[in-house]
Amino acid sequence: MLQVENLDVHYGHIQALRDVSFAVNDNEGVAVLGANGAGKSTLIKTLIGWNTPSRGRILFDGKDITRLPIWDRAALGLAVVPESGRVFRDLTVTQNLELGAYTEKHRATIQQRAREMFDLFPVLNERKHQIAKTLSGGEQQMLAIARALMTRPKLLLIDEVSMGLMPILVKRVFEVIGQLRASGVTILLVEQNAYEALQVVERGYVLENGKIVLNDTASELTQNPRVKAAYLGG
Amino acid sequence: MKKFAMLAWLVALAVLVVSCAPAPTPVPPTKAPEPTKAPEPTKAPEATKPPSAGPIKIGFFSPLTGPTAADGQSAFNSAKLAVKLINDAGGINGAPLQLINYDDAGKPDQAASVARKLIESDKVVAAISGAYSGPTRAAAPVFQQAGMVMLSAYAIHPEITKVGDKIFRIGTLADVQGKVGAELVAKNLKAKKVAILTIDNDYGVSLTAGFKAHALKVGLEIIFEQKYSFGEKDFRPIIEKIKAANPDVVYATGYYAEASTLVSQAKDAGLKAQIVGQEGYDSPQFIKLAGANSEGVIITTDLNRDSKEAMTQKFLTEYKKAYNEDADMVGASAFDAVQVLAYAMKTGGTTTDGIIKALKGLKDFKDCATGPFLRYTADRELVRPVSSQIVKGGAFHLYQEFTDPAVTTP
Amino acid sequence: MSIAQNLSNAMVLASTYILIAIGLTMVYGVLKVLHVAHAGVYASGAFVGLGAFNFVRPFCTPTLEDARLASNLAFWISLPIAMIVSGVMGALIYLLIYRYTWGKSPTISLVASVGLFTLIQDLLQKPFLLGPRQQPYPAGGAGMPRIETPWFMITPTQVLILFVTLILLAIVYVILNRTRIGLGWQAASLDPEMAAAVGVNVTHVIVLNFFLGSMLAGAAGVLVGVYDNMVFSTMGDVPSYKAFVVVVLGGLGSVPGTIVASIVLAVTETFMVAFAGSLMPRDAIAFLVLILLLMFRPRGLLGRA
Repeated sequence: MLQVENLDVHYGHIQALRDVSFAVNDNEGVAVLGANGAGKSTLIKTLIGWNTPSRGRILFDGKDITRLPIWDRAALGLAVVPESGRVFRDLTVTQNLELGAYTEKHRATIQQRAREMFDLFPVLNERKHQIAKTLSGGEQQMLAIARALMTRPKLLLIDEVSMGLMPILVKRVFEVIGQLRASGVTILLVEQNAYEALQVVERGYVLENGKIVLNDTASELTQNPRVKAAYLGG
Repeated sequence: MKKFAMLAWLVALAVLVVSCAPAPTPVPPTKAPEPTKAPEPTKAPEATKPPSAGPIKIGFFSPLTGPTAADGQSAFNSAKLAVKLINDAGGINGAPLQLINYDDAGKPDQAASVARKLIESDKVVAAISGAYSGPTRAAAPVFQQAGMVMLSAYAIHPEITKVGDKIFRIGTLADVQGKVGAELVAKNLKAKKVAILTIDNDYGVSLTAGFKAHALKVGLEIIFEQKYSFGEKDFRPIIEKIKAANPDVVYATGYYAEASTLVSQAKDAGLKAQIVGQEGYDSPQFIKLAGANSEGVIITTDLNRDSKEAMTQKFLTEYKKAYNEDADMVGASAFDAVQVLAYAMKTGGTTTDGIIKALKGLKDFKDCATGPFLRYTADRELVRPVSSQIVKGGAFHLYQEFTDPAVTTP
Repeated sequence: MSIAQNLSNAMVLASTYILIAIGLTMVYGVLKVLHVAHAGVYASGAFVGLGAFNFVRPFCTPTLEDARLASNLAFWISLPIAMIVSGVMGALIYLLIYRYTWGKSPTISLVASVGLFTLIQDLLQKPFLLGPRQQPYPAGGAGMPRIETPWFMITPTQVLILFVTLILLAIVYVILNRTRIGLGWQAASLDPEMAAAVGVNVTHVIVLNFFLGSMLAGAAGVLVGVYDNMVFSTMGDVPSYKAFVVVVLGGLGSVPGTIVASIVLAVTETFMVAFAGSLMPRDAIAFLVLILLLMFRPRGLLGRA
C-alpha cells in the first residue's frame, strides 16, 4: 500500500528525517513512535505533501507520489487526521464532512457517507449545523476523523491524535481507531502515546532524531525494554 | 522560482526609476546663480548677432503624465505649433527656435528639478511654464535665482510673479479673473445670492479670494461656501446643500473634469441655479464629458473663440489641422507664451536683460491667440481684456468681453 | 437638506465600493496578498467596457431606430465583455505573478503588485489605448427607470448601479455558498494546506477567486465610468487605497464585512461632506473612520479573531 524509500527532509539547514524507509501493507495498522521532535509530524506532513523531501521516494499503491500535488493525493485515497484536528473552524460540521468528500462528485454518495459518519459519531449528528469552532477539543478530533473517513480512504494517516486531549477522551478516540482497524481500514498512526497506539496496530517503528531505530510487531515492541523505558513509562 | 522574484524586483525597480525620473539634482540655493551664466547679463544686447548662429533654445515644461496630462499635452502641442509657425516665418532674426521640453508629471518637486535641468544641462535662454500653479510656483524661484526669464502660460496663482523680476505671466491673474467673475455675476446676471465652491488648491483658492474681494463691492451676498478636493467625483452631498441654500448663482472653481461632473450631477439633482466657472472649464473636454448638461454654463476665460483677431483664428485652425482636435485655453496660453517670448527676443535679443526690457516695452501686442495684450504692469502681469463665454449648441461662444480697466487691471 | 436623498446617493456610492473591494478581500482571504493591481483591473474594465460600447454601438444603430435603445443595447453587451476580460486579466495576474511570489515574503508580492498597477496605468495612458484624456461613457441609465418619491429621487444610472450590484452579489453568493468549488474556496481561505489535503485543488480555487473578484472590479469600472460619464487611465488611483480601507474596515478576508464596511464608509463620507463641509477632504474621512474603528475593534467590523 505505502512504501517509503530513503526519505530525507530538511528545514533549511536542519535535517528532520534521515534515510527513512518503511512500508504499510494492505489492511494493516502501523504506528510510528517517537519522542517530541523525533520527526514524526514531519513524516506525516511529507506523506500528505505539505513538506517536500530532499531525497527519497514515496510509493502509494505502486505509484510514485513524491512530487504529486497535495490534492491529487487525496483523490488517490490518502486521507489525514492532522495534529489537533485542523477542522475548518468557521464552517459547520456538515460542511466539514462535505469537504472531507471533496473528491467525490455525487451528491447522493456524499450524503450517504455523512449519514454513516453520524451513525459512527452520534455526537456529531447532534451538532451537525453547529460551527466547528464551537465544538469541544474531543469533538473536533472526532470531526477530523470523520472528515478523513468521508472519502473511504485506502490509507488513513493519523498525526498525534491524543495530543492535548483529556485522558478519558484519548481512550475514546483510540476506541474509535480500534473499531476502524477492525473494520479493515489501513492506518498509519504517529503517536507519542505509545501504549494506546500499540493496542490498535499490528506493527510499529521507533523514530529517534529523524532515523528509524527499531522495527517490530506491536506485541514485541510492547515487550521491548528500550521502548518500555522510553515510551511506556516503565 | 528565484528567477521570478528577480523579475518582481526588477519591476519594482523600474517603477522607482519611472516615478523619480528625471532624477532631482539638488543644487544648494547659494550656488544656484550659475557662475557660467553670471557674465551673460553684462554682455551687450545681441540683437545684431549674425543670423547664421545655431538654434535658440527655449525651455518648456508641462504635465505629460499623471492626472493632468491632458492639459500638459495641449500646452505642449500648442507651444510646438507656435515654434513651427515662427520658424517657418524665418525664426528669431534668422535663427531658428528650438523647444526643449520636459514632463513635470503635475508634481512641484519634479518641476523644480526639471527647471534645474533646463538651466544647467540644456542651457536654454529662457523658459515657459506650461504647468499648473503648484509646479509653476516650485519652478519659478529656480529660474529667478539662475537669472533667467520664465513666462507662466496659464498658471494664475498670484505668488508666481511675486517670486522676482524675471517671472512674467501670460494668463489672467487669479485675482483679476475672480473679480471679473463677480462683476459678471452681479452686472450681467443681476444675481444677489451666490454659493461658492472652491477646488482646494492654489488655483481654486486664489480665484475664490479674487471673487470674494470684488463680490462685496458689487453687492453680492455669499450664502454658501465649501471646498472640495482635486479629482472629486461625487458632488451630490454638496449639491443637496446648495439646493437647500437656494442661491441664484453657483460660482464654482475647478477644471473641466470636476466641472463636467459637477454640472451633470447638479442637473440630475434638479439644481436650477446658474453655474459660473472660469478658464479651468475651458476645454472641448468639458463639453464632451458633460454633454447637454454643459449648455448654458458661463465661464470667464482668456480664449475667445469668436474673436475677429487674425492670430486667434489662425491658432484655432492651425491647431485643428495639426492635431485633429479642437484647441483649448491652456493651449492658446502656451501658444501665446511662445509668441510673446519670440517677440521679446526679436526686439531685445536673447539675454535676460534684453528679454525683460522688451517685455516691459510690449504694447498692444496682437500676435497672439488670447490678446490683444495692452502692456505689462510693474508687477509683470499683463493688462488684457478678459473674455467670458457661454456654452451654446455644444460649443463655447462669446458672452461678454470685459475691458473696463477698473476691473481688468491687475 | 434631504437626508433620504443623501442616504440613497450613499447607497449607490457604497455599491461601487462593494464591487471593487470584494475581489480584494477574496484575494486577501486565500493568498494574504495586498493586491494593489486590482485597481488596475478596475480601470482596465472601464476601458474595455468603453471600447466595446463604442465598437458595438454603430452596429446597433441601423437595426434599432431609437438611438437611446441602441445605446442601451450596446451597454448591456459591453458590460459582460468588460467583466470577462477583467476576470481573465485577474486570473492571468495570479498565474503569471502571484503564483510565484506567494509563500515568499509578502513584500515581494506587494512590490510586484504596485509595479504592475503602475504598468497598467502607464499602458492605459498610451494614445493607442485610452490616451491622457478622460473619455465619456454615455450609456446613461441603460434603460433603467427613474425612481421618484417625495423624499428622494434615484436617477436611472443609479438604479442601474444598484441593480447590477445586487445581481452580481447574488451570483457570487450562490457560487461561494451553494457550489462545490465555493465550499472549496471557503475551506482554502480558512486553511489552504488542509483544504488541499482533503482534495481541494487550491490552484483552481485561487484562479476562480481572481476571476470572480476581477470580474466584479471590471463591472465596477464600467459602472463608475458610466456614473461619472468619464473613463481615464488614472481612475484606479483613489480606489487603489480606498478599497483597502474598506477591506481592512470590514475585517480582512470577510465578504459580508466588506459589504457592511462599504456602506458604513459611503454613508460616513456623504454625511461628513454634507454636514462638516470643508473640514477635511473626503479621502481623509475614509482613513479617519478606519483609524477610529481599528482603535476600538482591531480586527475590523466582521473580521475573524
